[in-house]
Amino acid sequence: MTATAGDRATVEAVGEGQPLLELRDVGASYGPYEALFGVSLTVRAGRALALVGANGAGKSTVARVVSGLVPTTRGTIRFDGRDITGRPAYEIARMGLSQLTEGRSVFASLTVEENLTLSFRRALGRRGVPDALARAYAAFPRLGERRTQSAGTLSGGEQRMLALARVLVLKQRLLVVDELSFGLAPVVVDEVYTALERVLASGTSLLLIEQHVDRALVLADDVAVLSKGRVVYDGPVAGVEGRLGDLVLGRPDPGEG
Amino acid sequence: MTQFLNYAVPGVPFGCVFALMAVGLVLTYKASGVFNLAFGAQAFVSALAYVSLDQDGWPRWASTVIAVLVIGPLVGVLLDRLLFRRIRTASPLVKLVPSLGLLVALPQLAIIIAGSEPSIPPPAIVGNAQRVYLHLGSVPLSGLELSISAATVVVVAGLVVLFRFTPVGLEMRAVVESPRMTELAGVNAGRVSAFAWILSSIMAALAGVLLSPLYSQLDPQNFTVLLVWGVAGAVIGRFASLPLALVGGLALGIAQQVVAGYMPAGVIANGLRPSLPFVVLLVFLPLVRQRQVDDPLSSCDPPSSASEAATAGFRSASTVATSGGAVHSVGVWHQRLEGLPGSRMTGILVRRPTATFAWVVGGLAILSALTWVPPDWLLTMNQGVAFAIIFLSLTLLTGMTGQISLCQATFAGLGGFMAGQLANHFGLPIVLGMVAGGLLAAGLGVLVAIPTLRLAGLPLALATLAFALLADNILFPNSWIGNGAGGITVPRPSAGPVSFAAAKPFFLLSLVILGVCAGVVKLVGDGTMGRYLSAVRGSELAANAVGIDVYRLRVLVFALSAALAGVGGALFGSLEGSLSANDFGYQISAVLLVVVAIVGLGSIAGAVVAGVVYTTLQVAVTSLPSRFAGLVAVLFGLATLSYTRHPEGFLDFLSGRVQTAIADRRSHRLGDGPAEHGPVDGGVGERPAAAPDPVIGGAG
Amino acid sequence: MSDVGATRPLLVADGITKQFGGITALDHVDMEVAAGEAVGVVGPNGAGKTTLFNCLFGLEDPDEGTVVFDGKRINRMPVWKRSRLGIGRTFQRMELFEGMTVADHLLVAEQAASGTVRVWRDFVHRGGPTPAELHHVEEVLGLLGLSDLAGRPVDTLDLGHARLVELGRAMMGTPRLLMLDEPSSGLDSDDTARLARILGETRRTTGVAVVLVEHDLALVESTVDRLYVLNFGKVLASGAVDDVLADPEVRRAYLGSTA
Repeated sequence: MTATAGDRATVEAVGEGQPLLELRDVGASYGPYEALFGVSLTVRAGRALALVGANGAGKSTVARVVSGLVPTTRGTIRFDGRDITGRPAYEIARMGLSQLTEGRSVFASLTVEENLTLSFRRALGRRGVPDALARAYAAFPRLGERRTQSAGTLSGGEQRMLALARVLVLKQRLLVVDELSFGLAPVVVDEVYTALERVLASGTSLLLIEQHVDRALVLADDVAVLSKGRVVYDGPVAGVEGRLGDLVLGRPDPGEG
Repeated sequence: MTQFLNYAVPGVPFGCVFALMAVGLVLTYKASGVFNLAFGAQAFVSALAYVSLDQDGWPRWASTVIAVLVIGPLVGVLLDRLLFRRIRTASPLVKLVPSLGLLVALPQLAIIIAGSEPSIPPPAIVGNAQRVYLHLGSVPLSGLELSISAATVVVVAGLVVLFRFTPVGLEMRAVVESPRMTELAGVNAGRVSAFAWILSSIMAALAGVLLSPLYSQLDPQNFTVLLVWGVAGAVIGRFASLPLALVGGLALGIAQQVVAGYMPAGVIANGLRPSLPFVVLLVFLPLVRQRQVDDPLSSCDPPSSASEAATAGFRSASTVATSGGAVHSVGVWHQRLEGLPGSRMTGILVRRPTATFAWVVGGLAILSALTWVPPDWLLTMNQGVAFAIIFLSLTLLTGMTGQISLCQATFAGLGGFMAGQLANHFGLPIVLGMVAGGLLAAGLGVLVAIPTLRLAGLPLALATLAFALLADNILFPNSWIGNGAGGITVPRPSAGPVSFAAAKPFFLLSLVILGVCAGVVKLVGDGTMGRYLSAVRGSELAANAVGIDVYRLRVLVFALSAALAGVGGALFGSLEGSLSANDFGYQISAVLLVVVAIVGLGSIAGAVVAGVVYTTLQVAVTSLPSRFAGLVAVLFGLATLSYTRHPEGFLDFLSGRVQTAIADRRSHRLGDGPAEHGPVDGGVGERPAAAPDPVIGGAG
Repeated sequence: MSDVGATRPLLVADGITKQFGGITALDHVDMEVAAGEAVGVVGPNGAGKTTLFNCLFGLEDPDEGTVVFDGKRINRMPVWKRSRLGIGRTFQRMELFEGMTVADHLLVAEQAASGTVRVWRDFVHRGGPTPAELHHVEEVLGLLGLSDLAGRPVDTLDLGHARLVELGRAMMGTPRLLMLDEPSSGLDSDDTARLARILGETRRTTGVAVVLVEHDLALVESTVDRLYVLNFGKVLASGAVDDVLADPEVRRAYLGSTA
């Protein structure tokens, strides 16, 4: 873990293994439609948490609440030692929290280089951009080849790489990944997961939201199971060995109320 | 070729100005989700400032700088802060009404502030407007044309540089694609879109200042026309592409001159030019896609503003108003439901004491009109009745369907002209003529509706605005329709021995016609059709899914609404004895919509009150100095600012207040808590609107 | 539970293909629903379930393939016409008529299904229902256990009851096929159990066929006769519920290989 450059070069309050992101009793709704009923979970610094659950369980809403896109109706969210409940999305992003949204998470109308520049200039200043670009292209040579191409013409896998390059170069504190494998062929998913491992290895913590449970569990240290807007399990992966499938699918399970 | 250039070159300055408007409209629309119809008014305000400063002896460059770079952005930022920022996610109606109000109010307000309309021709910002500086081939280029083109080129070049090479330009392009994704990249999207507002306001201001010398005097109407051309350009750019909007505006400017040049002089040629935006809108609107499609994060927004639409719309028997858990009324037929004992229903059915009050007031007014009221007051009241019918057409269309029409005055005019012409040329009794006028308006309504009604909301409003302009320019000037500003005479009716020529009988007849029209609206609202319309307003998708042919329903309602407007217009013509194109120009339509939206689209009473208020204020303002001629427009325009907070209209707001007060007192007396309409069944959990209490689901 | 017998298929989808800008959402999907049969459609996120639903219901036009309902080809038929033919549907993200009461929801669907002009009847019945319509509304209210809530605006209902109103609305006008898109989404287990019970009762009393897209396998298992599994726009497996769920390939695609 190294301090990052630019305006986020703050003292790191949270050490390896300590809680980096904490949700306490968080509720959220889309208009009258309630999506979360008091979700609590913890992502530890330097580790990966897999958030699994059936469709409609509220996983994507958790991601959006964390990044500030959807307001909470109750509860608190702490990130990196600070209370970020109710903060605007751009402030949270500047604190080092990145999000890969479900489906497309790059600007289709901007070129590859412009996509990267947009976040680099904000974080590193004008002078830092060329160096950051060089590092991004070194990490993902295919992006370098396509730097003047508009991001909308990239394949799904390349778009994920582009988003990851941004995170990798800026050494973000936490990356929230929403359905990384959505719409990707299995082979490409493997590739993207390899890139994700590099992100994790570089010190960025992960909140992995994934329907392909086995994929997520390879990477994850902890797992939280979301069902109908509530967390029914939160803890180390080893704790749910064998009954995860039933938990995810909401089948009756004697172990849980 | 030379001849083409001869026609085309004078079109370039127009094209430049249209292009500036179009680009500015698209820019704010993309960056903040508001289609700012007040843009035309912003252009006018800056133009007025420019001309006024120039007349006060300021150097021309200083006037330009102040008008374009100070006043332009200032007005824009004020509008954004005070108004548009709050209604970003509102329904199309709630977004459109205030910008229309401002379109009408701002120029009048500026005129009141400035003292008077400057009457001398405004100067070009550089050089001598009339002098020919050089020739393109054999086409002379005047200082005016050169300065407009040069200014536009500079601005466009500046925009290109800004967008391509600066950080804020990059951020703006990102916001245009998806504000939320931009926020995720750590960029304050709100600040970026505020910058876009400033930028587009500068463009509106510049367009206004550049355009002003093209006309002999400053007239707000010219700037509304400018707005419509800009809208057409924006539509060519599909509300999305800045370069396309630029090219579209430019092409329109050239095309309108070329069309006018090649056509033989006369009504058709004069009319074809202003009708070009309408044609463009009809051709290009179907290509416009909804805005959110491209934003992968659009689902972060609350699902829909259906509840807002329900409160803003017509309160038919099948729409139930709830406020604070209290149910105000439930359709009569519910009493026949088996599972619902009458005793329980009485708790829900609250009689509206305000309705009784309204009937008493109405009765007294009619009684007074027939006894002691002086003739000129009676005339005003009768005008109010005629306008009430026109307002009813909006209650039906906008109140029940949420569709926005900006050509109701046009339909009224067409109805009136039809009735008058039939009476003058064929001796048709005027009451039959009113029916014929209504039918004609309905027929034209269908013609307008069929191509445009698939696109609800904003596109329909724009198409109807363009249609109104087209009618003003092509239909109304014709001697066999409206005969231009001269107008036509419209007789008063007589039925055999009974003559309605005198004021009081005519007033009674008007009341009967109003009663019939109101009856039609009530039958529609409370019947099956009203139930269908409530359903469509709640969810168009689900309405289709239960078997409602939503499209046909909309065309039907649009036609019916046009017919009502036609009847109202005919009645007005007959009352006045004559009718001219000026009575029902396109700007009247905007004022009408604004007025009835403020008073209340939720009930028939709203339309009647709107009619009375509108005509009374018109009369009242004639007693003021001429400087305040636009005061009514200003009042209503500014009232739209409060409309965004109370889209139900002030009538419903007031009666709601009264009702709540009465209900409170009653429950106090009974010793009940205020929640007298609590859960009907103990087993059902209430779902509070705001409280985040997790009432859904007990087990976990 | 299968009483399909020799009845001819009610709904046949043949080779439905749909592409969105190069991504194949549906790839030659075949599906058949017999009269009175209940069929489930499951699959991971993005497998094309909702797209399939939309193609069947008319919200999307398939690029290829045909949809036949009751022996009639209904490709390109608008939604409202399909509804009047006898297809009722609910929505994953609920689409209720805000501001209207529970009873009005049912009545409007009943009246729209007949599709006739009603000026005179409105005049006679003061805008209300005819006796026959009233009777049917009461019947369905009773079946769903909503009688006590008939006069309530839907905005004041909790989600469980609101979903029932949607179901009831889809049942008006006596449809022969109900298409339910994740009806349990957002419901807790009690509400889901009640939904399953009511669905079963509805099928028994009306004999309506059901297509159910659902993630709650408990609800699926208790409701449907046959199951289709979609993955990457293709039918991965279909057949009896237990057989399909035991299929190792299905478990891998849908659950991951955890269990």
